Amino acid sequence: MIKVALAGQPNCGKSTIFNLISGLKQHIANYPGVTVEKKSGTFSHQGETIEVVDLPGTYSFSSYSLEERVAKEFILNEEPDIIVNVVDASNIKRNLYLTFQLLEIGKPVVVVLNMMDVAARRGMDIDVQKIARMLSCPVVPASGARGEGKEAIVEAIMQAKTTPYNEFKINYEELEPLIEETQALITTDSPQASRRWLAIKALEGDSVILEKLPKVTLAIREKCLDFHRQYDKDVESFLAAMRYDSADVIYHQSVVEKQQGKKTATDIADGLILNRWLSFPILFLIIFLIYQSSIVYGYKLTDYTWPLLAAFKNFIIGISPEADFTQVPMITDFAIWMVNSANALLNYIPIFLILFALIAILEDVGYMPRMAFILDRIFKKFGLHGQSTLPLVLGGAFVGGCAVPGIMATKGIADERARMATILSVPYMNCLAKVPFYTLLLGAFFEAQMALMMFFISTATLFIALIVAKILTTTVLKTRETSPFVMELPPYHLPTFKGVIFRAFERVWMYIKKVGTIVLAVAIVLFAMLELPGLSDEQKVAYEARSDALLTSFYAQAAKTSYGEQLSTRESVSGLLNTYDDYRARRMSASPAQAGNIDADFEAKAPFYMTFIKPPADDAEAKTINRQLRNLSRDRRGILQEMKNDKVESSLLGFIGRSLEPVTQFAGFDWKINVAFLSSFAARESAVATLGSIYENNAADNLRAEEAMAQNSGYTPLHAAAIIIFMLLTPPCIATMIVVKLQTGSYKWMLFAIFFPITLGFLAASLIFTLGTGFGWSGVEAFALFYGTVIALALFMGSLPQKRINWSGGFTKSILNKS
Amino acid sequence: MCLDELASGTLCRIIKVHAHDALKYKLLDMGFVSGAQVSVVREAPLYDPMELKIHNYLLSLRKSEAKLVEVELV
Amino acid sequence: MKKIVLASLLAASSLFAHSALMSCFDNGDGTITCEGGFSDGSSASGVGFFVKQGDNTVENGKMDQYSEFTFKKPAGEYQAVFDAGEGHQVVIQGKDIVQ
Repeated sequence: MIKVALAGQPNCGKSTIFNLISGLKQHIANYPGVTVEKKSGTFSHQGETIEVVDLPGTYSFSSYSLEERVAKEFILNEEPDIIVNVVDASNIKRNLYLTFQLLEIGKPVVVVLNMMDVAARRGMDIDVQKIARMLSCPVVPASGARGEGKEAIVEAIMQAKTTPYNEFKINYEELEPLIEETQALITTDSPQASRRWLAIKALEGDSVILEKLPKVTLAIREKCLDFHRQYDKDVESFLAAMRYDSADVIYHQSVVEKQQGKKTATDIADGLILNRWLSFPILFLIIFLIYQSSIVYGYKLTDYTWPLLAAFKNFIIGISPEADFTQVPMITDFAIWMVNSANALLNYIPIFLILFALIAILEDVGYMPRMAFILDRIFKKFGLHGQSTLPLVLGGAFVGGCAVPGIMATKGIADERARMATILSVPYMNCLAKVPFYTLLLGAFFEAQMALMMFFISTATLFIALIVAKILTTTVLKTRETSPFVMELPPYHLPTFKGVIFRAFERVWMYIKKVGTIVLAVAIVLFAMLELPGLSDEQKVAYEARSDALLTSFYAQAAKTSYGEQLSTRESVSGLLNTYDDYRARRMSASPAQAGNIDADFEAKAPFYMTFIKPPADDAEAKTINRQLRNLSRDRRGILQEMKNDKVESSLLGFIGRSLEPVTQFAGFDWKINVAFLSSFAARESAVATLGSIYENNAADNLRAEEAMAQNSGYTPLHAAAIIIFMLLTPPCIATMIVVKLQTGSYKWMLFAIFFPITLGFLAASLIFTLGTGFGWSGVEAFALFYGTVIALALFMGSLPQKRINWSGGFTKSILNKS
Repeated sequence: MCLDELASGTLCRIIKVHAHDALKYKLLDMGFVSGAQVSVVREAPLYDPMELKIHNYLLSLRKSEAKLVEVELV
Repeated sequence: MKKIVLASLLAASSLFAHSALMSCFDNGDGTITCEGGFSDGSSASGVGFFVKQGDNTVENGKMDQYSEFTFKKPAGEYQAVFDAGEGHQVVIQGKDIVQ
């Protein structure tokens, strides 16, 4: 078996090469003990098994970043046979900086000169053979995006296994004596690598290497200081300069630039995209288009996906025990509750799929670094980073998003403090699932100003996220490590279809996993808390009496017809009723074309019942019974609804809701609101269903859900404003909290991420409600005031100086004196 | 003079990098070595950071970090 | 311009409430009954419903407390429309409504 380590700088197309040679059999894990992803793949060639491990992309091979440490430990501990170094052909000089360091290790290296097509397009003529001679290793040209070069690379790997390592040496001139001295100190019980490489790394001050060579550390420290004094350059700067000089030499000897000085397509595009006056409008336009497309088209797609979900629901109902008039078995209730919870979330999948695909396109094209470049100055003021853009956008920058993939996307942020701040502020962005909730409340209490309120809500969240980030970075996160913002702006290139689809599905899968696991788990708990202890014996008796009365009246009506005998038992009537409801549910979620099939199905299954469900034109008696049946169905629904309300009121959750009332009343929340919030913790999508059903009063009124709520709840627009404010600030859902724990690696932060927003939300809501009641503000006024305060606070905080950089790279006396 | 003072379109050569630790290593890795040529492409729309071209690729650097790079005009 | 932005924000957001659904039955006695609903189980009572033939609106009203609307079957081609707002309309062609 041949073990290959795949190394390369970021943006060199390493992943594409990885996919190219290892095919589809990939395995993703984590490097031991850290949150760095380890991707490996296996394939066979001419009887040999080859395992390829994709090392994290790094610009250098020192040990200053976690990724570099991980890569180095892998090479030292796992001892791969060959290193394949992917180099961006259009960016050879900088890429060689890493190549040199890899060549010095002492293991065979195969250089893959990737993106040859881009280099050709830029008019670069590259003498591949010459580079191979100068590097003393095989160099394979390739174009990963075009799928070219696979055979050559694999061939080179096979050959490298049998070819002995050709020593590659850069003459470090003034440093050579020191290198030799250090080499002498390294004994044979050191790790398996070239002694020269170990010596160079030790002189560089590489922490991973020095850990393994304790004796060497003390000895050379003095020598390094001597070198610095003698040549006015520390060892690291010296080495870097020599390496870049060598890279320069190789570059000029093997590359001819035919179009030097000519503007590339990227330059022209950047001229517009980064233009002082056009950049922001373009940015907003792009974000707007993304949301518009994903929401409008995604919604159209749900027309096709909903029937599938509905069919699933009907299937579940079908296999659950039948209801016996108003006695619905708990299993059935439970099954329906679970399916509803899952369906509510799954219905969003088309929208998220399109949203994530569009964002993946943006990432692939190379727009993200430009976004970071444009926004860095603003984000910096709040303790965030230009790279926080993607997570915030995924979390919902405009109309909506999902915090789960948003937080997962913070993986790439180098600056530790900004990363933590981003993780803790993404949850404040517009959670898509909260939107139906807002719509319900806005429709009920703010119908006239709905557009304005929605605008407030969507835009307030970004400011709130910024404020929270600022507060956190100046208090609890003050001491975290920050990093310099040195970011490459790679050339634009066309996105690959495979890459986009893969990433979009990856993120949607993350969303589905959250549904499948956490949401369902919490939903189970909530079901128990909403159902138990159940109706009191008194209530049960009362409802039974009413049910009996309804049945009796039905029997009486049926008796007047010739069908009376067959419809005189509870069993037969229940059967009829259940079939009727089932039929109607299936017809609802089917297209008109399928209606015929459904009818035929039912005719075959239950011909007797169908007589009354779809009475023939000439059978007046059947029609009478049909009318009675419809009334019976409605009445039953009414009773079930009342039973449900009673159950909720006396349930565990209801009890908790009521016991919180003394505190929540300051925010204007009564126990019903408390219950709705608590029960939607599993997934905010279910807040509407719970709230809606609590207020549904189907008896005599002919009102829409919003109208019903407006009239029956006794709330004022001010109440609604407070409720909306609270909803704005509370954390999206349990799934988000779990992801926070995953990314921060600590339960402490997860708990913080739960209780801090809830407290903040509650205080804000209470403040607005109590002040509003005192001053007699209307709902809109109160909310506008809240909005205004948020903006003012954000602007104020932005103007406060950011705590000075924690990395010790600040000013030196000499440079200050000079100017 | 320092890199952050230069206007868009200027070409310069690096004399010395006066940074320490994390920033220094990062700059070295990215090619900010003595003698390397850097050209200033533009400032961000909000005047910070700066976009630079060095060793044939494009890079973004905050002005507070660019201040630590001593350069001379070419 | 602002109005367009606001309007689309509104349209976009209200789309999330739920998918609108409707099914219609020909009662065989010269009337048609249409029943409306939403994918998350919310009631459709009070929500708008109308019938049109070409450009004319032949019937106009709201779903009753049982989320149903019954009307006389028009002669010729017609469309039953469950109107739950922007982007939330379900249209069923008259010819697809069978007994």
